[in-house]
Amino acid sequence: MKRTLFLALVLVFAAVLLSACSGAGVTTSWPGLSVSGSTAYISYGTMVYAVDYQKGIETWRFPAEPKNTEFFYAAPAVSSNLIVVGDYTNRLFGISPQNGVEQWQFDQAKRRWIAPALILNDSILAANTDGSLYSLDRNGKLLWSLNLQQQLWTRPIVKDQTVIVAGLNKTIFGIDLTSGKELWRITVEGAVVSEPLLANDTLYVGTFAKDLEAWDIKTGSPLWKTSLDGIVWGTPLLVGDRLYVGDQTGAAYAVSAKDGRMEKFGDLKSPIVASPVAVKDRIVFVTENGTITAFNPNGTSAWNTTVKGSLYTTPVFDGENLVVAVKDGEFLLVVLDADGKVVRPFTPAK
Amino acid sequence: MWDAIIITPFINILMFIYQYLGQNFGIAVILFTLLIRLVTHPLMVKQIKGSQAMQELQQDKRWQDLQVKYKNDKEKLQQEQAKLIQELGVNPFSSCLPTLIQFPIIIGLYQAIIAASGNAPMELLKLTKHIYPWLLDVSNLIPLNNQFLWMDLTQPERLYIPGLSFGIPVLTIIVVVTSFLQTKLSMPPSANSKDQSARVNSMMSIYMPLLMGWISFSLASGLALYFVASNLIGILQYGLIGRLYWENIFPNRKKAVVVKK
Repeated sequence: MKRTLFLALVLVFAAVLLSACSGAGVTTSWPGLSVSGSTAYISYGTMVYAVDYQKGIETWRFPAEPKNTEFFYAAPAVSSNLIVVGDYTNRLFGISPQNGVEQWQFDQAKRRWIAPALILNDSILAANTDGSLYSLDRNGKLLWSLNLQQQLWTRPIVKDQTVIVAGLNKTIFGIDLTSGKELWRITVEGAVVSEPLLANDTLYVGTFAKDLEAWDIKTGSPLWKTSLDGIVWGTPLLVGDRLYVGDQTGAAYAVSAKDGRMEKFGDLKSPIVASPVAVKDRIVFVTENGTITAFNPNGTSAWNTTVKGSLYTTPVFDGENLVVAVKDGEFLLVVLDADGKVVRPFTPAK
Repeated sequence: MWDAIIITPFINILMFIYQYLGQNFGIAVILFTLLIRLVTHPLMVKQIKGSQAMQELQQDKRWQDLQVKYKNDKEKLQQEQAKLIQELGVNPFSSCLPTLIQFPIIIGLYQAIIAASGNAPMELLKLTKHIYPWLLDVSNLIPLNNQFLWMDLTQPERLYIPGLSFGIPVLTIIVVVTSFLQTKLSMPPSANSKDQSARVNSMMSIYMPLLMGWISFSLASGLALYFVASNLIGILQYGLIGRLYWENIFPNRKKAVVVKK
């Protein structure tokens, strides 16, 4: 009897263990970060925080009552009178930037929101993992939607009247902004998880096929493709005629925007997931192991700072300060000056 | 350590099956479960034989006499039972040890299935780190095709029928039914239904399927698919070695003849 009871207890324990350690209930990602004025908006876990990072004060948090079934990781889209942020169920919220009060809720998407939304003058574009691109008015009312048959993890971008959005299944779409009709599509080598960069009718995109590709969107033809050592997670950064990009092996590259000629100028020895950011005349990369490294345009290292935690989120430079969001760190937010000195760390009160 | 020994190899086997056999996560989960079940089959046979030996021991007259004789002296009873076990050459751990050895494999398989779904940025990042670059090409794997029949295997499964405002958890129902069938069919009938171990077994055949059903209802349906595949393959395995006790389901059916080996 004891043996059977023991076995029964072991089985029950295992079943509980299985359900507890799945991670499926608490799906994880890294913080989503946006900055407007001196306020940083961070979506992380069950909350969206508004933080005055100059003063180190939390202004508000959303929702007022967090639910342990509702998680926010997509970076909030910010305009002067509206913030739009999606959660990991299927809801997209319109929030007041002044006090964090919910203005509206859109719940017609079928799956989680990984991509940040884009706020335009009179509409909102939001790409969902259910494969649909949604266009809403600024009150959260659906204008049109288009199902693209593949998960969408990237923020849409707009050029004139064309919306450009990249899908996880190696396709980039051009869609008419007014009607929501597909105009064109191009197929790249690998999955795309960050929005492409559009400059002068050329689309630059890093993919899971360990490459950086350039496409002419007027003709839909490829211009060049450069192979890198690892998977590209972030959006390339264009400074002058050079593109800067990092990969999952920790390599940092400068690539000629004209012909794709590549130069590896740094090995940071830890995965680079975030996009690089320009800080004055330097290029800053952040890595999984918490290092923040600034490179001079000639490829030499300008400064290096390490914070406790992992850095997957693209930092924001406001002209004076570099705002960095940290996953699993001592602080959720770290503010540095342009020379890499930590000015102010911040973590929300429990 | 756990990752390097169990999770990473499991994920790579799962992804290898995915890449070369159909590029469908559902098919990969089913084939992977079949593979693991085949590899652990000798352990399962040992466990069944051990259980059978223990059951025969408990039905042995000498064992029952000891229980009567020393019912008020537990210490002495244990000593005498240990002597009898030694005399008959039965290993009391031979039934539960193989089960315990299988646990890390089952938990690893489960974690591998969850990790391999890669349906959020952090999960996808972890998945790419688990892949052996000499074996698999990430650019061919991602995005995974998680659609199987009507199910998205990264989400809890519900079947929506026009006219109904709610989804029917079909896979959860199949998990409960197959778990119940497997537990019932594989459980040797007890000679004495008032026996405590028989009562525990009977409770197990109710609670375990419900527990599995709850897990399937709440978590990604890839896991529920694994449960169904595992249960059905388990029933087949018991059938192949002649240890299906249909009389547990149909009490009027003629009892199975178990041939001693």
